[in-house]
Amino acid sequence: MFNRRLVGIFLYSLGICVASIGATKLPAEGSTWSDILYVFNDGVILTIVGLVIWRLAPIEQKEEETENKRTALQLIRDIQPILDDLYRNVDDLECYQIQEYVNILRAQYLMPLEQLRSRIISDKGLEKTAELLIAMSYGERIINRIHSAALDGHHDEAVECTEEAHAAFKEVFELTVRVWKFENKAV
Amino acid sequence: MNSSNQYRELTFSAVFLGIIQGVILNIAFVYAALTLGFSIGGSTVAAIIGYGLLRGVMKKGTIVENNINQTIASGINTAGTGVVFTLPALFMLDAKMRADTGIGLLEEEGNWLPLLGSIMLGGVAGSILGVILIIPLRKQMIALDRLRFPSGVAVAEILKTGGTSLIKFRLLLIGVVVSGVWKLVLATGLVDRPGLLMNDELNISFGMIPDQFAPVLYLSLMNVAAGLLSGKGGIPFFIGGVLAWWIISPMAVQFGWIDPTSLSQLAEFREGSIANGTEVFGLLHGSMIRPLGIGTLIGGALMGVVAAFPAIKSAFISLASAAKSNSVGSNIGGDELSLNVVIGGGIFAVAVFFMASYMTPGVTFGQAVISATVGTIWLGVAGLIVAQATGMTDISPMSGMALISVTLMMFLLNNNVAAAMVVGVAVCVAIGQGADMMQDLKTGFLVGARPIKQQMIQFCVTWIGSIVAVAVIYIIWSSGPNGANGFGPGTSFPAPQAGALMGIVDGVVNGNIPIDKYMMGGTIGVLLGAAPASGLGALVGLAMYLPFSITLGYGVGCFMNMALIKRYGREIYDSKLVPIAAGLIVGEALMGVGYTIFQILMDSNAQASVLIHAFGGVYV
Repeated sequence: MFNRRLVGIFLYSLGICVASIGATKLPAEGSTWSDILYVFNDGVILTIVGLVIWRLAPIEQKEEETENKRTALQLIRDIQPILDDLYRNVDDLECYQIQEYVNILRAQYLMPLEQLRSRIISDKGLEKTAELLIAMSYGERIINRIHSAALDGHHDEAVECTEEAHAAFKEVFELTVRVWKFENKAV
Repeated sequence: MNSSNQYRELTFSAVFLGIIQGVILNIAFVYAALTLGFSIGGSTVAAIIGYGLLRGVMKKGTIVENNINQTIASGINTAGTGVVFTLPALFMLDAKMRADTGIGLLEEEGNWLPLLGSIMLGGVAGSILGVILIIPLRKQMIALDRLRFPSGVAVAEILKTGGTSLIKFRLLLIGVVVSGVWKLVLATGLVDRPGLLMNDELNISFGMIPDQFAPVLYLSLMNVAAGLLSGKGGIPFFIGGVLAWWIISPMAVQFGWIDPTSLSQLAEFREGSIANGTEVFGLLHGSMIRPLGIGTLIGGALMGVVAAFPAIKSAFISLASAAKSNSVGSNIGGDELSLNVVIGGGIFAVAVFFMASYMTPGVTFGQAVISATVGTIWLGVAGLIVAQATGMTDISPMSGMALISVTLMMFLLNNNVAAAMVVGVAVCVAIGQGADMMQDLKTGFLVGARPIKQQMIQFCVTWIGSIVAVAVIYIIWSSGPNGANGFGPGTSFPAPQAGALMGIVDGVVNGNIPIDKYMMGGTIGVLLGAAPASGLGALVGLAMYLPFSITLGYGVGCFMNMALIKRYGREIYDSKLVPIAAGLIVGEALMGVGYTIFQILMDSNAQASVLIHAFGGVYV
């Protein structure tokens, strides 16, 4: 058995190379197209064939991606208690402690989530996940604002933003559940 | 501790400082671009000055307030870049035509003011449209595509300097010093060796690798740092360079499309740019690969729009629904200017664009309608291309877009050079503005700024830059003998970019346009954009458009990132790589600006060829 995805990528890459070489030659004086236009056309056809094979191949890999999908879900689920904790205690925390919380959130949840972003899109499609990813990005920006406010020593702003980030990630969780059509208890 | 209602963001101090800095940087960079042909963004400089004044002197500035300051300053400055790449060509063309045929572009010699009025209006329309374009695209490029915007990341590190950890601050400082010193050594030519190292470029052929493989490395640490920040995401850019210079170029030589006597010149190379100076590079890159790259860039970006349509639709829905709901969802959309403002501003800007075209001598009502309509559509496409290219690599292919704009408009407007140039100015200002705004929004994202405040203030002040730049260019032109020819070949302002654009206009008038390359490149770009890999078309196109020396240096940075993350884990990116890379970008930018100003002050007749790499080469 051969790997259809690799075959698709190989044909696609080869087609792009052939088409590019065919497109490079300068046309003769007075002509619009060079005398090797057929090479370019052949390259385009090869590219399209490779692209179709490449595009169709991921369907065979559904099972393999289930693990990654769960990881994204777990990250979004697991960030909730940390944010709950920060939300409950933020009034009593010093600015440097708030920064430490944010550093943990970034390193352990937000950065790994960012890396899984393309997998989320490829798994569910941009149409279904755009709203979720925008909400996630909004929540991340507000967390960045908590960090800036804490760095500036503006405790009250950090507290207000924590409330905002907490609500934002609640929505992220709801959207995630909706996207994967899971019940809360199943996630 | 400070109280929340005093958390400063959009303040009078930030706006005032931003405008003052923006105007000063605009004048300085217009002056420098006329001398050298390159310009750079002013975000870094503005952020550092803002840090010193808002936080150091006033003692009450905040990170997000400084973000507003640098957003304004770089916005005003960047508008000048768009004007200086195009407008000087108009002055020079008029002088050339008058010298050749006795008839210039103007009915009355020296009566520039009516036409400059149109150009200013075009620049204002372009500034506003550039900002409007970016509002719905912010979510796609920053929230969904997560483009790197290396300079935006660097500026965010500057803004957080002092409040961040001491280790990160030291790393940033080390980067600044290393890059600054390295830039100074290269710019002064201390280590230049003919045939080996010239103008920041190292010949790595070792006397064995043939010229057609482009064995030249651009020694800019800023370039490497951009790759360092991009990592795996930047590899398609490197692959594009490999395709152009290790596959297409040797094949072209193998098949005899290049004169074999022009090969193997690198070893004897004695002056100018190693990467662009030899015949083989000139022919292969200038006539074959670069035009193909422009086509690929456009095709790839257009396909990118199609692929990202769900995201763009979602962004518009989010903007439209912002005012209708009180849920968290409303905050998500409500953090940006509303769709009504975007539409209203767009209509206003297109009307100004129409007026600018209609006021241009020789333009009919119908041509003005075509000019405003097609110009706006093209401006949107070009803005998207440049914003994507900047987001992925930090390099803005502005001159390529200016070339297409003027070519397209001359074709549509019956070879009316002045009218085409009005559109060219509007497009260049808009795309520069869009790319700069996106960098600033990335910075804002990283420091948690409210995008609505950045967009609102940029909306209000962005027009200033075009007007200042037009005025400065006119003053310099009028400073020549008999109130003309203040810049151009043989003067202390050679204006190399304008000279290149003038050559293109000449080519269009004579019907010499590489249509085949644009069409076939566009097809290749569409095919690359259709692949299940984000931004492939734009990245490969950009790599073909640029000399391989830049792509190679950038690739080195990408591979270093991947190797370090593999060895030390993902954590090293945020804790070490970002501050070091930010420092490298900032150090080179500061030294480039400082050294250039020093050179201009010391020697107003400095040769552009000697200095051409003194800048980071952000706009090419």
